[in-house]
Amino acid sequence: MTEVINNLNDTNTPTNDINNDKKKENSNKKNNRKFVINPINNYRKEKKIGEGTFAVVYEGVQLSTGRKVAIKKIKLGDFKDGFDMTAIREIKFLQELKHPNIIELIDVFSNKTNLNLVLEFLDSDLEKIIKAKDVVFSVADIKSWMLMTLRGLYHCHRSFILHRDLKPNNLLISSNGQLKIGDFGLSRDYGEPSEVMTSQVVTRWYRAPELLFGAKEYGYSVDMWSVGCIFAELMLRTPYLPGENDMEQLDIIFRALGTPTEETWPGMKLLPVPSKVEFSIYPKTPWRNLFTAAGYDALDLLEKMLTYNPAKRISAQDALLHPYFRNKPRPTNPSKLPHCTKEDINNSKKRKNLDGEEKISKRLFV
Amino acid sequence: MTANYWESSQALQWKLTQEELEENRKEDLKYITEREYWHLTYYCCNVAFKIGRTMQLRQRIIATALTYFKRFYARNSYRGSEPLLVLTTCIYVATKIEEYPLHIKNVVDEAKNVIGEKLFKFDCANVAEFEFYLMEEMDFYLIVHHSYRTLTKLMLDLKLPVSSIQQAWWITNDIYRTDIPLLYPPHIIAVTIIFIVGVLIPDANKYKDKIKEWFIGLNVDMNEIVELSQEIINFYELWTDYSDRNIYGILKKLRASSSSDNNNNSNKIATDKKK
Ligand SMILES: Nc1ncnc2c1ncn2[C@@H]1O[C@H](COP(=O)(O)OP(=O)(O)OP(=O)(O)O)[C@@H](O)[C@H]1O
Repeated sequence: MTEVINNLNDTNTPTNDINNDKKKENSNKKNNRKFVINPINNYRKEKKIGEGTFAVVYEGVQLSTGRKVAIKKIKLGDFKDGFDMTAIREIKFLQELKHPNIIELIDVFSNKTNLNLVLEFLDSDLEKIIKAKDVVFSVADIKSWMLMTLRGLYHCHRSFILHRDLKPNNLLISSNGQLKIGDFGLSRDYGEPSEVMTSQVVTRWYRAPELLFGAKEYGYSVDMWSVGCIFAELMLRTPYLPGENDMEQLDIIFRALGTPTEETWPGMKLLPVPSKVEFSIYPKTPWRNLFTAAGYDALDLLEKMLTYNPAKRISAQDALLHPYFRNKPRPTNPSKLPHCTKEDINNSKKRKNLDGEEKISKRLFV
Repeated sequence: MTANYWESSQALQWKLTQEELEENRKEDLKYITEREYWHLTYYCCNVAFKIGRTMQLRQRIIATALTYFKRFYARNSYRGSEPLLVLTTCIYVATKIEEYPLHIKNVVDEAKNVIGEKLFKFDCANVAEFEFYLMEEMDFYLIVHHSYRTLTKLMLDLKLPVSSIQQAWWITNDIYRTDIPLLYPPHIIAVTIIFIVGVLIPDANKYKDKIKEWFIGLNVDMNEIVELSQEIINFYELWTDYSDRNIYGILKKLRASSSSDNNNNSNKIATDKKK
């Protein structure tokens, strides 16, 4: 148990170093302001690598160091109201959360009308890896990704930050295998439990039942539900609860986990949706036939993450202390994890996991 | 207090010392007196509180805005910038950061309304343009921890009378007129405020032992608390002497040209960047 905690602390050490360096940098900046490299001239945009709803992403180089970076140019949108809220949130949270399992915001610069976030370059994400049919992964690999996800998330939660959009696509992977939580455009600081927030958050397949029920007061547990869905998806190699719309999403959850009752989820009936709708009653689908390769400890942790009652759902901290992470097999060293980049998918290049043991074949999970 | 304050950017990047603040202030003090410096600061803070009231913003938003304002002027001079544009932009950015986004036009109109067109000659484009420079001057560290939450919790734990809670709340707001939020951690501010209201409670004897016992149980440096309460009392002395009649004169003095001007370009970023 102490080992996991120690590791947690280990991961924090570099944080302080970074901050101290930054601090020195700042005090220099204060004195020699005129001589600071103009950030606009410190980066060269090379090629466009992607486009999201709010941003165009370029590959680039930080000229002063030669470091490869991703430059996220925020689209203009309603610039008359200043910077877009998603961009503001990304800056606000990434600047605060320095951690090996959270994407690093290297710099921010603006050229007249747009805002550019300079991020560390991460050429893959968990969704790509899950979808790469010829990449095989082991239970130890899954454990390693889960461990890194939870460490990053625990750091968010202990800093009072809800991510609110965890999904495989937002868990980015560096070339040396480190998993990093990205995309804080929907995140929020979370203070009092009674704070009212919108329930329209989190991509549907990863959305916690209380959000689907229209809860306006919720907490860190919504992120833990998403982590549970991701855990199941890693084992199944396909989304576990893929609803077409919000009502179907609930139906799919109930079929998989059994319809919740006032007993399993006290207070459920007080939420907006259940107070109006009668649900079909399903029993829980036994997991043994579905997750054939998973150990008891893995399924126990999964069950604690996919618990209906948000108050009873396991926290990131407790999940890190779960026996699953102490039991064998040991989590794979990140540098040895199976990897795949966009190019790999395009060229359908085959990559084999070098770690010969405990292969899970995708076929086992159909 | 939460362990994570010590890891926050507020503790690591933005906890300043009195000396740093005084050093930066030297530029303005060539043109105005220290008393005038504070009167201009109080004027700006009053404007922020007024805008907060008329727009019905949560106290937290104004507290964040004023922390931004203080951070900006920990590195810049009033002379080299447009304090009222800076202030309005601080409020606008704070509404976004505290998840209460408003239209830029509403904020600018309200600033115009509260400040008056004679002093406030800016429009939405000015504020939108200045937004980036404000964030940049803060090195994009935008999350601010306040003492309200700790204070409320402590007051409830101690079961102090309602009148004390009200008083503590007022003092907490007033503290944003000073440099104190840049100099002390929020939980120390909260504890000190309890120390002060504890002394001021009318039937203090009833609570004295309880508060005393409670202070002994806390793991805080009493010297720091005493030092900070002295600073708060000093502020109230300056504050009673405040009037906003001179603001126009102070601003005019700050704009006066001077032969040493050529050496001071580095402090003009705010106005230069605006162009
Ligand atoms: N740090 C990064 N390193 C390398 N590539 C990146 C990085 N960040 C984003 N990309 C690429 O740019 C694409 C767009 O990213 P972005 O975060 O803007 O949108 P998204 O999350 O995919 O979509 P949306 O914003 O609609 O949710 C990604 O799909 C990815 O291919």
